[in-house]
Amino acid sequence: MANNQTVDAFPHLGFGIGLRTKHYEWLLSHSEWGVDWFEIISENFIGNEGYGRHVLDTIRTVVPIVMHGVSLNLGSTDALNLEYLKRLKQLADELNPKWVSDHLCWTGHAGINTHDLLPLPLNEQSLEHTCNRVEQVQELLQRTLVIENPSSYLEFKQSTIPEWAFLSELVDRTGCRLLIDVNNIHVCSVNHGYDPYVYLNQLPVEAIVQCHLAGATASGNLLIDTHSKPIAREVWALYRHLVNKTDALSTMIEWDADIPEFPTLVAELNKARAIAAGDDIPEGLSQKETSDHPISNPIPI
Amino acid sequence: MNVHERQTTSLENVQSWLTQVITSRGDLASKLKQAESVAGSTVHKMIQAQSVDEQQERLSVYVTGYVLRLVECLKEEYPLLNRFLGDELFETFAKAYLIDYPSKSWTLHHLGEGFSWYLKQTQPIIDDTTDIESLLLTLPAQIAVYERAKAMALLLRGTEQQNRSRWVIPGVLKQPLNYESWIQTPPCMTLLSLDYPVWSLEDAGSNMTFTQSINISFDKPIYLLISRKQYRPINIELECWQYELLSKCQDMIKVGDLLASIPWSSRDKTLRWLNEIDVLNVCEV
Repeated sequence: MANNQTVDAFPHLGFGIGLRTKHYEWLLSHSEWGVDWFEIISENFIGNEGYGRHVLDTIRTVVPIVMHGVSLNLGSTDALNLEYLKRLKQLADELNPKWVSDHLCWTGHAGINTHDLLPLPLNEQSLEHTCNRVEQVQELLQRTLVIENPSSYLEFKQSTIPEWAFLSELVDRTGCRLLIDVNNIHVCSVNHGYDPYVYLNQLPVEAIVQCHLAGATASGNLLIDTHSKPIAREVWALYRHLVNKTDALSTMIEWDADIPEFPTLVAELNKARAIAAGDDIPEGLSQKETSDHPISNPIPI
Repeated sequence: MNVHERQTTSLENVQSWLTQVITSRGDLASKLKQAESVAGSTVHKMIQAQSVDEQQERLSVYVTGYVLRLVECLKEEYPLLNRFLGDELFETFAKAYLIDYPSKSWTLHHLGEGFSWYLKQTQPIIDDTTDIESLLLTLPAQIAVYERAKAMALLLRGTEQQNRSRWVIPGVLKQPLNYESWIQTPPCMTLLSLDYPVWSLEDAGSNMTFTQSINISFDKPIYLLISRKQYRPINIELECWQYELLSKCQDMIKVGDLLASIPWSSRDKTLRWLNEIDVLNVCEV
């Protein structure tokens, strides 16, 4: 692995929030934000020289940022998009984020981008393929990549490796780090019928540098990762379990549909602070049945 | 597992199959049929599930989510067009566009790039239309052109970011005039030639009658500058000579060369106007 980052290059950032357009005005008109750091969606800022970039440039003089991507297409059998990677590196060089992350997924095939985070068949072939791609990306970005576990609604018959084992092997073979989305583990445990605590217990704890929290929505027999609600009690309990296993976990909340005002998000984030400090788990909302078609992974803007 | 089975269950084949299921035309049954014809594999060989209903429920999250997610993006970029057409008609065009031209870009900034062109291509060719019929057929594409230009005005480089640009002096041309200065429209600026003053629809209420509220003009094109100042979008209606003048500035041009291209008697008026609108990048040398 050719990159310059060491363990020390992944500091504990504290408690953060995903930077979204809706909050730009609020952030520029207030000096106390109540957050320690922000995560940005990389693709929203590649080629963006408008107001969003102006807001970001203001924010990053005050608090650290990390870059989170949705188009790396890491698991795809398509060739890596070198133009995208060049621009991603350029943005990272400009913004100096604490780290750059993307997902264990693929987004399209034969040049098509579905703009969704699609599940991989988890087997030896896809593991070897993904490891090669991670190494190539790390070489091109000159950084250690941070990889997130996705939410998913189906499993392929070709899968032979549990996701936690797949991620562990990926870490072993490439030196990448992990962004663990606790809500995604909860969603997948419901959708695929496994014990989320077994999943968490099998992960290489020393490789986990960041954690995502979000709210999901029940629809029929499935739980959908809508990023549209307060965090459920089951997710807070899993978060407590993860926090107890790690020394210092940079934690953030993703909220991408029905986005509340910024102070409401901070209040939700403060629940995470309290849990990490040892407080009781708060009452989470129940995930009620919905009659609409809830959208998984809504576009974060 | 024989060679054929290995091929149809390879990683590439699994991805080809699911991409077809998600992006091809029709209901789920048609999509599965299309995916089978392309990837040579059936849903039963791909998806773990206890029943057909379960397979469908799981696949539907991806199939439905794909369309809804991207239609929402197009609605974000084209709110005026959405109001003009109404949700049902807008979604019909948006879904057809996504099926016919699935995204091949890593960024959603490109998603709506071809939407105005697509709307124009789908206009029926009808002889002997009335003015109102012609308006109703052609206006959607023109609204889309206008809204795309607005989206780019907010996204691309403007005149604010002096320190990240070699265009060190934004806006106003200094006096005394340096004929060796370079002048150029910023990337965020679009010059449009439209048949209708579509921007007037912005002020109309949600339940207005569009054909009544728009000032129909068929005789001559309407020229419009769309850009931004201090990150706020601006529209400036242009006269023909102003449109032609700014068109010459879309590539870098020396102030002296620009002035040489216009009648001597118009130069003072031209410079006064350029200073008034203050939307250009100027680079002193």
